[in-house]
Amino acid sequence: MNTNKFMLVGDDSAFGNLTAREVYDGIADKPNDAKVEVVESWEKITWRRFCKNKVAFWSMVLLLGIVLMAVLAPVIAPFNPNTTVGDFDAAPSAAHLLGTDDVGMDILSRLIYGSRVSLIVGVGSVFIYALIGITLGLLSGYLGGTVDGVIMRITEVFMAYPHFMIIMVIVSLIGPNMMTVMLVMGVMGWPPICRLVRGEVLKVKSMDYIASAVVTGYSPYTIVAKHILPNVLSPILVNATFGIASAILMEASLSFLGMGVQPPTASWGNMLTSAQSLTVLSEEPWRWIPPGIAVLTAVLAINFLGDGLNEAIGGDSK
Amino acid sequence: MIRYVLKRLVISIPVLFLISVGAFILVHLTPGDPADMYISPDMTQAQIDLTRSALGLDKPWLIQYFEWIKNFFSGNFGFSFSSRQPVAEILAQRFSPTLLLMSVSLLAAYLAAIPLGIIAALNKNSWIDRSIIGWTFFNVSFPPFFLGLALIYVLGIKLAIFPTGGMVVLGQENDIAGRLMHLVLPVVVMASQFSANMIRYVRASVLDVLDQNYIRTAVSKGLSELHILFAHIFRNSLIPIITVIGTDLPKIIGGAVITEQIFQWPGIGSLTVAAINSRDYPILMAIVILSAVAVLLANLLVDVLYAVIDPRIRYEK
Repeated sequence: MNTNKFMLVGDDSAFGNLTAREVYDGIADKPNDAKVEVVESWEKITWRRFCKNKVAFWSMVLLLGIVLMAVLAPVIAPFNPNTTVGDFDAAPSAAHLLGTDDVGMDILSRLIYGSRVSLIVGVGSVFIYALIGITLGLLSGYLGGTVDGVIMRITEVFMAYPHFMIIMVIVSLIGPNMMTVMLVMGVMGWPPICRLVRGEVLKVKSMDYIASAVVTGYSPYTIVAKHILPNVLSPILVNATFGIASAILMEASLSFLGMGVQPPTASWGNMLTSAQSLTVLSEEPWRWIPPGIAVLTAVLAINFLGDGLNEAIGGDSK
Repeated sequence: MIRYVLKRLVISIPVLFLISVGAFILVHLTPGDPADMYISPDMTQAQIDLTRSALGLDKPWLIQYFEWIKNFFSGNFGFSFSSRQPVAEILAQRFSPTLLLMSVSLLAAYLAAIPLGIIAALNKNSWIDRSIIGWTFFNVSFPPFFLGLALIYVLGIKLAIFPTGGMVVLGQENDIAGRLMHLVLPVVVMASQFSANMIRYVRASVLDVLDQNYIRTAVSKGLSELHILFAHIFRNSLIPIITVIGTDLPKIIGGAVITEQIFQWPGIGSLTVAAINSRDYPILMAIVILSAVAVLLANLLVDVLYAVIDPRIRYEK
């Protein structure tokens, strides 16, 4: 729980009648046989535990690199990604490090710009559904009763549709592009996080500090926003991290099928669309292997990051 | 038990109703008139009106909805816009390839995943455990289209061991070995995704069971390790396994969109892609509803199985 700003190690009785605060502030003399650790804040502990997980740490570094690449795309991309800048279907060369595609666009530049689409759609859609899911989950868990019943039925309806298929159908019916992909994924994706938040709220709701907040006369709004929400944030964070990974995968899959981001806008997914033709697949591997590896790397890194976060926060470490 | 099943069925009726309304709204909110497919430019207004009323499009939405539901329950899903064949007939044709692909994939995934999950749990935190867990991360992160293309590239084209797509070679429909060869690559793609989830659930579940007192009792009684593994650990870790099967089962209908598309597998998934591209609403609507119904039925099945395996669940509700 993040309210624990300090931690005492050792036998409690060793402190005699000192309050924890006195120990913490270093006012009191240190009892001889007590191991007093004036320990770090919750954030620091979490950070230290996170860094112990080497895979998660380097995944995070890698991700920062990808974010940097997306932000600096206009600076680092050698060519304009959406126009013809070279020969058609040219193999990698000094001028075009990863070659060109069937209309002479530079693969490397498209790859760099494609990271923007992946990150925007991934983070954007998760942000939308986390917002909806957290709000409804808090309402459902805190209010209970009819509100809870109605919201839970709605989540059942949403979860009954096969996720990928329904998103694919809706996106292609309203017109596929980056914004619609992000919006539809956001609007359809909230039920799992809603249920997660609801479950966490139910756990926290029975705690003494909530009861005392109610007795003290805080408004329900304050209790939910200041007392409950901060204490359910960790599992939400972990869930959202994994969510970004699957959102990036889904965007790439939709774009691959031609039902997501449309060319000439470069997305890692739609760069692979042409590889459905056996000629491209076998004769021009430079056109489809780099974007495939890009999706794999980004998604893998985010999943490792989520796993590291989960462990550091003290979630299910099994 | 029967009362429990009935209760569960009754609860899913409103959900089913909302699902059908959702699908209906979805398809009717889309731009363009379904009748456009039947209307040619040289038709007179009277002919157009006649077509529209033949399709029932001149009636109010509410009536259209109820007629559609009524037909749906009598197995009449309408006619495909593009091929003019009955939707039910098309779906029936496409269903068995998907069923074949998915059931083989699930079976292969579980046969690999359950032992791997148990091995990982029994060797917790060892390098074996770490590599198995790392492997699951790879599986869930590998874009299915990239995995499929890479497999076709290496094993289908360069090494030419497996066919690059399709279900049979034309004219050799009875060649069992050939059919099996066509199955291998798509099954690998599907199974790699299904197995990852299962491995993690099995591992977590076995770890839970290992902590239980009755396992310590069994060990201290001197029971053999194999006996403990099968009679005590495996049986008790079944419940989460059923949960995973419950989330996997509904995917049998619509879960293989990408794999089917890449391998030109003539199933429901590739039909969906084709129907979207040709705006074939009757087919889309039928697929969406049938797959939602499959999800509901699978949930029901899982709950009933829980109740069968663990009688405590029945009495709690």
